Amino acid sequence: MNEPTDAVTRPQVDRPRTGLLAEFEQVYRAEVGRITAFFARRSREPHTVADLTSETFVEAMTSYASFDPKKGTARGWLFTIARRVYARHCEQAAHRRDAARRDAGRRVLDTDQIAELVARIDAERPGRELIERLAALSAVDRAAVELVDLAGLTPQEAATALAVPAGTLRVRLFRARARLRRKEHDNG
Amino acid sequence: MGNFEDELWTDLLRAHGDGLATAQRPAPLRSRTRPLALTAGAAGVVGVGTVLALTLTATTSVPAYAVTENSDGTVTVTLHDISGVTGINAKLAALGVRARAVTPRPDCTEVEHPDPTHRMVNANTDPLAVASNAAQGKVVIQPRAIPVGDTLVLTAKDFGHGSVVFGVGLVLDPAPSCEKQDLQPPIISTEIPSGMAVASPIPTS
Repeated sequence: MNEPTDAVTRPQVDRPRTGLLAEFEQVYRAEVGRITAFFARRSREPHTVADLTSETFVEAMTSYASFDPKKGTARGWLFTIARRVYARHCEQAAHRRDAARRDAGRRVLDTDQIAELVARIDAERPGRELIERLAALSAVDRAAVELVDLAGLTPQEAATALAVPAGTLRVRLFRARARLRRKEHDNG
Repeated sequence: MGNFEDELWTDLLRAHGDGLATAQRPAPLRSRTRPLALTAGAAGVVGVGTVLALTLTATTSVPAYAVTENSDGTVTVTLHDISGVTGINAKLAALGVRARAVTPRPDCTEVEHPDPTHRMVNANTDPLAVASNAAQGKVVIQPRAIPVGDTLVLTAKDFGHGSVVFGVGLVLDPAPSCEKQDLQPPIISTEIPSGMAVASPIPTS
């Protein structure tokens, strides 16, 4: 039998980070706010925001070794995961049993964390309103505006997240912004 | 970062930090012409004899995994992509099922202890079986049949091209979070006929 090693007995939280873990920590710290905001624009419920953010980073962390920085930025890759997590959430929410099961496995939040997330959700109200104003646009146009103008992705990163060519993304972004401006103008 | 984000990071580190600390980005894929196979090492936890192996073909349009609670108390686990292993564990934990999905890694240092006393786990017709393949590409777990002090380990092996294979075995607690990948001869994954072992050697000719 192998003797227990330091890697087994000493919690990772207490050790200096190296390799891909160190790299991922930088990604996490740089992007967790954006990902939380992404979900805060989609839900007014703190637990849902917490769960979806958590699910996104669990998926990201466990597949980070397969992320190829040569093919795009970590931000674009993370938003690809976040969009997939949210799509799955919407699909499951349509089924009552799944929703009940999800409630049973929810992340436990203390009152400070709930207050923190409620503040995030409130802060994203303008973003939610903008998304609602873009409701008439196609899903890709809407997502392009959100990812670039609200989430801070570059057009290239947004193209990666939406799985469309960068040129297509730029055209759609230009078109969506123009429509938004026209609508704002028409509304006075 | 806020309190929530700090605590989430601590939880992530605790659950997955060891795996990522020792992980490496894979070398560019070479074309693979061998049949989909499960190495004996990948099924190392199945030391007591039986392998439940399922081959799934992943597509980009399906979720990486699914964990479904059935009306008869069983739980169906489906894995389409290796990235779904953590999600499976989160769902199993949420459901209170003492089962854990792991991936084999050459650098895994955790020690597993297969349960030597328990009869083997998969049998389609045996109501006491711990797990069975009720349908193509799905493992059905009977949570109540998992002995106290044991954990059902689902070893997920990714062969690339969207193909994932499961090995299933009972281990004494605490269950490992990864599995040592060794170089023993591979075994072909096949369907389970009726509660029998499903591993057979790949022909050498």
